[in-house]
Amino acid sequence: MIDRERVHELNNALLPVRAYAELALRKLDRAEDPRSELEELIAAVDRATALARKLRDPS
Amino acid sequence: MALRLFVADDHPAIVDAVVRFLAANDEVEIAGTAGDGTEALERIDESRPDVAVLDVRMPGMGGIEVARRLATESSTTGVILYTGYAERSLVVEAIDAGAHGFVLKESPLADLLRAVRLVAEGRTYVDPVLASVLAGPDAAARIPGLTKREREVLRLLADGMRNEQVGRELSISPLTVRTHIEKAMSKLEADTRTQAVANALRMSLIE
Repeated sequence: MIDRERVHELNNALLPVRAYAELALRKLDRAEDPRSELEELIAAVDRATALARKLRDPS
Repeated sequence: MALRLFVADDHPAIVDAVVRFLAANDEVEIAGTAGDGTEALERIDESRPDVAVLDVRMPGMGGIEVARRLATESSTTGVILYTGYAERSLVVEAIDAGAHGFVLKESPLADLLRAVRLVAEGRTYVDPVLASVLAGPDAAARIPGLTKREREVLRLLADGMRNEQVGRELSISPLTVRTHIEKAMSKLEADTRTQAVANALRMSLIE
């Protein structure tokens, strides 16, 4: 069970993931190049992964 | 004319993502950003955006305090609190402080855009997830029966009217307006008039 602070951190880390995924989809719908959004998406996933690692191994 | 928006959060990645998402809409223009509450208050005073999206928790001064100070200054900027905490006390505190919207970070970003549009029109938005939090765990079993007049009064409050304006609109005295609001608050188990409006909207008792 993780506490509310960790949940808050997790939500903060996931929000950019959702934002850039939605922006990439929108660009695809318009037949535009979503590369920039996908790069930001990967960076956001990397940050979320680092956070998950920290939650798993706090020390 | 574009809707001028301000965004403040102590996480730069969130500011970037939210700004980029909202600015992708032609109707939105970014008036400024900030990384803490003190900076947000200064920049909002300078740039006077239509709507400010503020993180509840920021170093120095949180979003609720920024909303409170803007309300004291009679600012025309509508404040939306953006947070990861789905807590009743936080929503009530935010609304009492003068915030017009409350959106959870876990919600789709389209909800944030919808909140921005509504608040820019002088209306109130509370995240759907918070409806049950506001109304209590057994709200569904006891949907309050508002009278037609109480619904009319709440509807006009949701449009941003004050008691005097509601009275003029419905040809009743401000005192009668107040009585309708108090009865509606009691039925909706709301601590404030804005909370009553938010509860009624979420329960679809008004549109």
